[in-house]
Amino acid sequence: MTALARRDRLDSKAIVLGVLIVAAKVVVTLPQLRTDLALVAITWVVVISFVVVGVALLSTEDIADANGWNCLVVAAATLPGDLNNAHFPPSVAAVGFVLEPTYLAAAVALVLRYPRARLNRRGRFITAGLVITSVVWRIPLVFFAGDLPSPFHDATVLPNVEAAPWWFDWVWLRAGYLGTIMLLIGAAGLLVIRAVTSRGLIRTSLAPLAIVGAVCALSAAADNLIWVLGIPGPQFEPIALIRNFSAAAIPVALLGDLIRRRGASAAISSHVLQAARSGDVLSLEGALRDVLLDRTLTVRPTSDLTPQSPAAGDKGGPRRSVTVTSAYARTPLVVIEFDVRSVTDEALLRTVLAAVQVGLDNTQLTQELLQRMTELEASRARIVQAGAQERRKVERDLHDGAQQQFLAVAATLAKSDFVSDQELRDVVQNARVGLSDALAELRQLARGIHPAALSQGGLSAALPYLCDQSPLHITLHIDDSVRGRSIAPAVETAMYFIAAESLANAARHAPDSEVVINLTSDQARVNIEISDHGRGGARFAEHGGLVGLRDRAEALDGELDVHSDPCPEHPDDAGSRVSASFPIDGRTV
Amino acid sequence: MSSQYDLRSPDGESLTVVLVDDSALFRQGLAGLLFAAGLQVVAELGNVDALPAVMARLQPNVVLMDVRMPPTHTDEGIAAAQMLRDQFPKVGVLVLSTYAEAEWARRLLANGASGLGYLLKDRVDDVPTLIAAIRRVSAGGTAIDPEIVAHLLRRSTQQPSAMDRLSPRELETLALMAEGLSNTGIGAQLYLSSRTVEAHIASIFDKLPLQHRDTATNRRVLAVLAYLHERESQDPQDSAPQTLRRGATEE
Repeated sequence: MTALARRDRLDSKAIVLGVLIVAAKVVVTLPQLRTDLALVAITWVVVISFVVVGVALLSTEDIADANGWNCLVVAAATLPGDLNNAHFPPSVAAVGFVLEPTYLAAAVALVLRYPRARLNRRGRFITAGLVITSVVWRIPLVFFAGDLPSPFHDATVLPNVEAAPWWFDWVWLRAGYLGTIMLLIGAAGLLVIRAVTSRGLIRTSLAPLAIVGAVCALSAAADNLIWVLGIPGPQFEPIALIRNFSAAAIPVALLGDLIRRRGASAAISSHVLQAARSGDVLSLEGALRDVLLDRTLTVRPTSDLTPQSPAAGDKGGPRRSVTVTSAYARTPLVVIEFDVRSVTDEALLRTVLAAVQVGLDNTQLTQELLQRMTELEASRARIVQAGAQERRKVERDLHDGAQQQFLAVAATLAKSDFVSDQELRDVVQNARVGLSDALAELRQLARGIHPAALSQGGLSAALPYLCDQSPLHITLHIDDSVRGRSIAPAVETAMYFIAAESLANAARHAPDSEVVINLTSDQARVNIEISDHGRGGARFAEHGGLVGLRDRAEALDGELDVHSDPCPEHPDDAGSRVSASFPIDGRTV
Repeated sequence: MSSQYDLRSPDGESLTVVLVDDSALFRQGLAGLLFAAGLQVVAELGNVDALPAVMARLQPNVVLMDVRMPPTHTDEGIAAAQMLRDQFPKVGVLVLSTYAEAEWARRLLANGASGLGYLLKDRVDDVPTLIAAIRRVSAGGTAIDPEIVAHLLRRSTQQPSAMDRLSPRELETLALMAEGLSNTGIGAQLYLSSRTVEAHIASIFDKLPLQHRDTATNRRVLAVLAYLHERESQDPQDSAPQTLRRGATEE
């Protein structure tokens, strides 16, 4: 995916540029910086950005709602810290002091959870640990003060406060803060490990959040370490600045990921769709490798069942395979196999698979359509050709048959110019015989074009007549369900000629066999089957009568099948079976 | 009985005829008719295979031949007629066809008209025309079916041409010229004196750009037919009837 790769390069340039701009800004504004004001301003920015991103996450379907709510919780959790100063009554300030670290737990929960709805076991452990070591462990700090400087702004204003025992600093201040530090380092480690062990799109997507989150957690840990060491002072304020800055960057990283996902989804949709439409498995594989950034991903048709080894040079993590099934035909299309670590995001996977499905379905439908069109064109051409051939045959039958017979009669009658009255009788007698022969010939021909019985009495009347004319021994069954049914005339004609052609074939290949004709119908269709036990010569020969009849059947949305025994399934049988089925009204049901 | 027509060959014998037609029924009927009319049918053939041998052995005056015959049922008769023309120039060949195909007639006469004829089979009902045609081709003349001539004339007069300047009588004369009739024959048909016929013919030759101002009947037929064919093929809106098209589209 060249488009996405190019965007990555642009991103990194812009990032470098943006960092330079910010650094320059910081350097230039340092002389006029008033730390407390800056810290307050930054917390505003943090709160605003968490609220905005939280709302943005809640308004998207790509990311679980828990992440959006978590953003709002982080924004709200920054409030207690602001109560911890002399502007508020001591009791309020005390509550604020105790609850101040909740923002840490909330922020860690957010970055560890994102983009899933639930925290995993380690995430829950770290979050709960942070609540205990930072929030619960702070409660004694409100009431007692030890030798170390207290983070509570003024522990002495509370009543009944006496000097804490010697172990107070160790148990409550140092132990609690150290626990918090360890958990923060753990959280940073988890983030980094997660980003490093993931693959493909997920890795590039998680990297900014991992970096920002790790920086934030580590700077918060360093900030805590100052209290453990008991050396607070304005010289360490830059650490708090870094912590707050990186906290402000968390929503930006989330937003960036969201935009990236959106872009990736759109790109995936169009790119994968395009590749899938090509119908070429290799180009689809290339496209999927591009968009999921997993070079070990494989795509193969479901017909190819050999398990494939992942590409060489990769350590090869656990693999997962997904079968894409046609949406309209419900048949498997391809199997996609990939590194589990590259796609941990089910929404993204669904997008990809949907694009693959749509693209492949599209290709398959197009191909089927083209194939059907080619078949239709061929069949239409054959029908036209068969029509012309039929007309030529009729002309020739007329020319060779009745026309010559009538001309012979004319010649016979012309003899009357030269014969005596006695001979005239013979001339006329000969002419009468010739005429009646010619008429019989015409009648036969007319029946071949369209049997009169068919127009007058339908198939039920024409078939017995057809059987009577045949030299074969025929058993004709006409189901009661057919009699009295109104069948489309075109269907009746097609079925009549299928029977006629089959009988002609049987006369050639099974002259001594009994022929059985079965005419049945159900709700929507009428069926005919003509079977014999002869040598089984019936088949679709090129330019043969059965091919023409099949075209005719298909033009009426009917089907014509020919079966010849012996075949692999009926090695002991012999004979031919021609069966046809039509919609009763001749139209598509 | 045969006194009705003069059916003697140039050497005074009764005309001998060979029939070639794949329809046995028609052959039989025609043979009966010709026999009754006083001709000698010396051989009947169902196809042209044995024709050269039969010709060499029996040396008939006339061959009556169908066009569509085995093996391809297309134009065997025309090809066979041209073969006879080359190998037996003294034998008259009268092609009998179910259809009035101008194209077949043109091909038949492509290398000269002498002793050749093309007649519709329907003429078996018109004994005088049939006998006259047989006589004409046996005597080295030409016989073209009136149907074909009428068709060509109709097509030619449908468009503005030099034909417009012909009087009705001259048109009738032109048609009979095309059928292969001699001046005497034309006079007999139109109840005109030979002098009047000659005047009409001179006038036709004046008005039409015919290729040969030839008075020999056979070459005159060719000239007139060639002229009519040419007029026909110039027709811009081709609405040629079926009979004409078939010759061109079927091999």
